[in-house]
Amino acid sequence: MASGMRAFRALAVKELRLLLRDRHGLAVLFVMPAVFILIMSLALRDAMDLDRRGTLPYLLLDEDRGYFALALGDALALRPALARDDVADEATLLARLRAGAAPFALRIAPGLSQRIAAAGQAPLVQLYLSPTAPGQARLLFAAEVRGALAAVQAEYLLEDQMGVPHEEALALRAQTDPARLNLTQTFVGAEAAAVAQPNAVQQSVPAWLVFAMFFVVLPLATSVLTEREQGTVQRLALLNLGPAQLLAGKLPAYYLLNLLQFALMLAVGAYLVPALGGQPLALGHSPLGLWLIATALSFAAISFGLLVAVAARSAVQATTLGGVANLLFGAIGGVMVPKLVMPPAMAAASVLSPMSWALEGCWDILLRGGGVRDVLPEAAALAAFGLVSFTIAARLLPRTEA
Amino acid sequence: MPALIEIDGVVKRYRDAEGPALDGVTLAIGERLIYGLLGPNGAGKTTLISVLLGLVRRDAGQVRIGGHDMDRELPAIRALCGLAPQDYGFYPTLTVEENLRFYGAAGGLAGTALAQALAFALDTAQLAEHRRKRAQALSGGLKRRLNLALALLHSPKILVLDEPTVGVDPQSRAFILEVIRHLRDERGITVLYTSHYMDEVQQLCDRVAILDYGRVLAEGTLRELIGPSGQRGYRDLEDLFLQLTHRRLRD
Repeated sequence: MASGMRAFRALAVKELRLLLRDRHGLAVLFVMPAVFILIMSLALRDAMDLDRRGTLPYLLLDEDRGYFALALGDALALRPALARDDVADEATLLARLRAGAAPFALRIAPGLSQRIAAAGQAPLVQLYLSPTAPGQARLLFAAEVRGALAAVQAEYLLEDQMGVPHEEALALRAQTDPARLNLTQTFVGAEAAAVAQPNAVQQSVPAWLVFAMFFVVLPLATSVLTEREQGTVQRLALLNLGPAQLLAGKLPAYYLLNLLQFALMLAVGAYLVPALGGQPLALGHSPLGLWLIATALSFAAISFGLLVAVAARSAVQATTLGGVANLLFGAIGGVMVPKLVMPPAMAAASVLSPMSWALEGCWDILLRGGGVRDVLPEAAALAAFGLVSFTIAARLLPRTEA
Repeated sequence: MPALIEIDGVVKRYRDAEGPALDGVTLAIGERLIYGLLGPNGAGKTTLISVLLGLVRRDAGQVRIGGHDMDRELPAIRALCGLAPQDYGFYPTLTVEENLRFYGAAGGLAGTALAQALAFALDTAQLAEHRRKRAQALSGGLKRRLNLALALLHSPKILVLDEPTVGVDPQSRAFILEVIRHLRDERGITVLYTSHYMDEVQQLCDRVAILDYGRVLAEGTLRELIGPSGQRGYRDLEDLFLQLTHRRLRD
């Protein structure tokens, strides 16, 4: 027993030393996710936070220049999500749209007052859309324009049809303008408690963190295959160390590495991203819950890495196999494409990816304000995945060495 | 008295290989011997070593080492053996001492026993002054010496050396051969030795087996194989080797 523990400790210390001296492997594991988190958090900042001014830029061509056209312009200016850029003529509008200056444009043709009076018979305004404009953004832009038009039409009805004095009509319009409606938003987390508004950092940090932790497959594969190629595994076999013991000896070093990744990436989200102009990552209220999901995730990632390393016949095969598997797990699991925008069938398929379980576990704490109890299902699923991967790897190891 | 290593009709076939790697090998190797295994590339030398250490499963035949049956007492057999594999069996980014400490502790040594084993290995391979150097920074000769030191850590009764002098300068080669003789004479260790250097085998080995295509073509002392002053028609061991294994090039 003491001899077994001694061997385990020797294997763990050796693995930690090897890992600490693999500077390139470490650089990939820390720099890659930090850069991804920074880029994605800053790039998605506006898309995830529609309260931010100027999220959707658009071109405005006002050929009417009448009262209602100006009123429509004012109503649109109330929408914080829209950023207006005036153009002088239709040719410029089309040219700039084609050049990608904005995904949307709005043309107010002459005679807007008459067309408002004859609503339903002729289009009030014309929308131009870039084919590259995302579908959800198109819907949002159209809804914002409809809201602004409704406000202008309300003013016309009040003043011109019902004879309400101008000042009163303006006040009434302001009350009914959808942009000014006093609408509160509450994001509901665990046990129906209100939590912080989700932003790009809350989405990006866990996603790329989970992705990066699974990339331990690269140094693990190098470690296992180098031992095989350099004859160290023969010497280890002579010491009567079993396959499970040999593989278990690798767990502590990579677990520490994963925990360090986890802590550093959370720190990047909490401190570095806001320092560069992004929103800060809110860390939730359960450090123990974060540790539990990080531990289960680490065990799953290391065991899967061991399985890939043991099954592969060369380092190239291992890195290719591990890389492709990670990309697939990431694509299915909602790392690269958020599950919210996936079609229902794809979103349902995400349950097949352990990265999805880990992501949900992280969001339980970071987004939904949950605690240890909330992450138990995801932690158990990850631990089971890790156990199955580890067992298969331990069974495969003697066969691949022979 | 039974031989220390008894090999009886051992057969090993690899998947997708044309012929067997070992084809009914039978050998008996006594104690306190330096036993040379000779053969061209692919003759089966490394496979035979791997079978003896239980690193590769044989398909047929019996192996007993130190009175232990391989099928039932593999851990006991392994405890008797030290291996210096053909590839350097150590971690390049660890220092000499870290490598020795790791293998010692992983094999169950601790405290004074580990310190003594470390001192013996460093002293025997004369590596004490290089103990803090990373293995990857050592010269070819020093790497071979570290490989040998690691094989000695657990006080083996049988030392298996798979081409231990490849890529070293004459001084290091002479030193390694001297150490091997010393281990046989002073510590009673049986050495199983493979090499392509005929002169080395001729001056070092007490007995020799020549393998090809997985079969033992000849076995005995040098005197038995080539006779005194080449009485059997062979000038030397190399001449015997080339005549038995033919001169055509191998993979």
